[in-house]
Amino acid sequence: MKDIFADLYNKVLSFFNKTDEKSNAKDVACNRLKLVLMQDRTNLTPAIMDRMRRELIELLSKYMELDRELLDLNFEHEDEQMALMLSIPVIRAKNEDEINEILAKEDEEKERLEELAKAQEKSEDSDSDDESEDSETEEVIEEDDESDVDADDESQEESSEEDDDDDAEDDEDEDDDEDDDDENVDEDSKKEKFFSKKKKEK
Amino acid sequence: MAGRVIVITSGKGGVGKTTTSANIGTALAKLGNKVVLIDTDIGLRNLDLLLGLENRIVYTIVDVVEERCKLKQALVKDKKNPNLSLLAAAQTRDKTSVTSEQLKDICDQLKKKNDFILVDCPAGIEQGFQNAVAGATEAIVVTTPEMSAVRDADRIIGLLEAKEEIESYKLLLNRVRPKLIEQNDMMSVEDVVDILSTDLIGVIPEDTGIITSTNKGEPIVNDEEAMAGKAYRNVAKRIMGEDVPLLDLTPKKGFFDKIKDLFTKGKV
Amino acid sequence: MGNINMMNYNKEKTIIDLSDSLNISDMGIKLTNILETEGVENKELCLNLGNIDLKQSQLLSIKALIEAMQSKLIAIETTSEMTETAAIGLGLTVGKPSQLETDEFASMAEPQNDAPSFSETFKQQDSTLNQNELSSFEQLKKMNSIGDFVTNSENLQEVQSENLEEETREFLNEAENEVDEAQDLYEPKEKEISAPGSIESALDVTFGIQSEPSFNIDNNEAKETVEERAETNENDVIFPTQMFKEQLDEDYEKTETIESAEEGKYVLLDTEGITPEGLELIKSNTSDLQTLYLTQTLRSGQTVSFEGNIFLIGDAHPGSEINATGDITVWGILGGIVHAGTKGNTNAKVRALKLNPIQLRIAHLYSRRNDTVNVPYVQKSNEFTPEEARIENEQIVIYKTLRRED
Repeated sequence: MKDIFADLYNKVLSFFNKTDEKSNAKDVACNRLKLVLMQDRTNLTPAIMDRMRRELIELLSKYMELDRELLDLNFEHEDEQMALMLSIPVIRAKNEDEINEILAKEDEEKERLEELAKAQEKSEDSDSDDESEDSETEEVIEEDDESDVDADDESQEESSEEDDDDDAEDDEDEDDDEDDDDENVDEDSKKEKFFSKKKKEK
Repeated sequence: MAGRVIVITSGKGGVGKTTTSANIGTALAKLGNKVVLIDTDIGLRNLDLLLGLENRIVYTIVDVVEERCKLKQALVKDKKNPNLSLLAAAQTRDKTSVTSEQLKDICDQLKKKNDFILVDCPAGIEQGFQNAVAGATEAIVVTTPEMSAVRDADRIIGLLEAKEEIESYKLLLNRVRPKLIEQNDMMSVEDVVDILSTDLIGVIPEDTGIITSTNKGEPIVNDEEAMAGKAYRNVAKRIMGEDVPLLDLTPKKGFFDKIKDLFTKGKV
Repeated sequence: MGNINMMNYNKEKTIIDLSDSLNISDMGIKLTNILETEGVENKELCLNLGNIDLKQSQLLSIKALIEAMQSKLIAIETTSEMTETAAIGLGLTVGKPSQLETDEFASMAEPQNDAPSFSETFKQQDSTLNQNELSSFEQLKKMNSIGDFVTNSENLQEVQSENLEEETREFLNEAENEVDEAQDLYEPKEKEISAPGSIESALDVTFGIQSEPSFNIDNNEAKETVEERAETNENDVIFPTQMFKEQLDEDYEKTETIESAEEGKYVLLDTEGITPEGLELIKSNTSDLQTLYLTQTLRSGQTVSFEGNIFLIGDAHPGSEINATGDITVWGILGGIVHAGTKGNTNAKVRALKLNPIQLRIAHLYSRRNDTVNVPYVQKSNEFTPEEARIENEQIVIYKTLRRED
């Protein structure tokens, strides 16, 4: 059991580390510490954190092109409330057509995916590593203007568990424009929901 | 007079709680405050050694609790500063010898006649910690720029936040080595503050003088020259509400340092 | 001449000048500084106290301090009558500074006089790198951590001022040869010194110390010194024996007393048999009691309490506690807290191969280790003289050898 955790831990670590090769002792310490503290504060295991991260990327990449490697997820204490901080460099914002296309596809596959997901969750509730890599449809088009999407602080109390309504979520998504601010809000709400979802799973 | 009861805690052992208690206590006393230091590390007492009072202890906190002596009898006065006294822990007992309520009682009594009661907390988060925190309204969390210490400090801060009695807590970063920080080999003060998102009350540089001062049984604040002593004096001033800027710990590159650098580079 | 003046006049004997000390604790600090220096041990010391007035208890504590640092005090130079009577009371040789100094130095031929100290000095010097003599001498000073270490020998100063590379070496060889001579000369010289003063008693002290209490503090005087501490607040060099009660009264008189109403539950009205005040002092034979026989090392935090005698084979580390209603005997180094005669038996005794307790309590009395003596752990040695602590005239006295019951 310990080994499994150590392994996962290292995997998660390497996720952070492989990006900055020049990393020095200080940065390594900071990153490791942040990760450890995140786990300490939330009681999330590395496995769940990993999954959460992947799902977040998957979800967000429907709407914009992201630098997956540089995703930074963290929890911070602020006045007795805990905030989930997510920052991912955005490579390119997608245009409406692309998004609609993806969403349409998604809708088609939604039922099938949900069934799959449910089956997965039932069968592999404890070890959730085997989730198939996301099937992305976006094309990678390099654009020079990279804008960082800094997730706003979204306070969230650990105990509160909101109702997840996937349909409602999707409706919201469809209303999305390319307006960054709006997207941020939605991202955050999604994050929050994902977070509480994970809590429930736990 | 209603004194302030401050608990000095860290979670991890060996980061300098006791040294900090002895030095801040002495510094506060030197500034004219009446200070009582309480050692709650029952069974592993050391505060008496740092103050050089180990040969004067007749009664301990356990004797007070078990009513073998009066509280004031158990207070050992400092050799140099009559404003400072120590309530020692018993060496031959364990943490269960004193309850939280009893410690709170003692703090409440001492509060009436003293400006500051500093409670030196044992390492860990068990009974000893719970006891030490019981009477306090403020806390100083001591940590060092090392992962393990910061992690434990985070845990302690979480526990302190959950305590209603603790009105405020501050971070004291101990054993900081400016040179290592400069080389990016050690987490910087900003990093630690950022990670823990806590107010800072002081930064104490690593100082070999601490070792000699411990051996002599004389807190390093009495050393006017030592950087660590200076830093502790500043912490005491900040506790009293003075606005003192943080010591500049960046290694100074004077002419001689540059020459020294040349030589050390040559060696490597 | 500096603050501290240390004149080596024989390999094993040293004069230390404390005549310009400000107070007794200053004296203690200077002494400790000198005696802590590497190589300064097993010396027979003579103190130049100038015109400082010392009480017998203060002188005694200085003597105890010196003995704690592995040296012996055998003579005093003073111009103060008070100190003189105190010293005589302790069986120390007394002389007027100038007289004794000149007598001794006059009585010793120059080479023999300086040779040993030179050889010592230069041996150390030799071991340091071959540098400029003067600077290496300064290094030596630093090494010795005595700021004002001045060898009061004009020879040396002359020697320094000249170019001495060769001369030093020659001198070293010479000196080494002369060490033996000096030692041969030691005995006769001693007798010569004895002519002007009352030195027979000094010899008694030096060689017959076994029969004398080496550690002995008058309780009344201890009380006085405590009062002095209240004034000067730094009268710390004494190793006082006090009544618990007195110590407490004295220490806490000046703290603002907490009103008894507020003391609440911490006041124990029924103190009989627990606090020393309630102790009923008795004098009973401890050999009738049962004895607990232990073979172990007593470590910090460990307590042994027994109704009867305790015999421990092994060391008692600092932080340990031994309490017995009868005697406590430690076949080893006693470094913790001991309390013999806990039920008030003033006949109880504490014995150990080496007594180095943080606190030593017998019945209603307690004494604590001197503040200036910072020896938490004593080096193990085959040459310990057994020591015994007992109460005599309301004071704790330590004897170097065990004495039988009269």
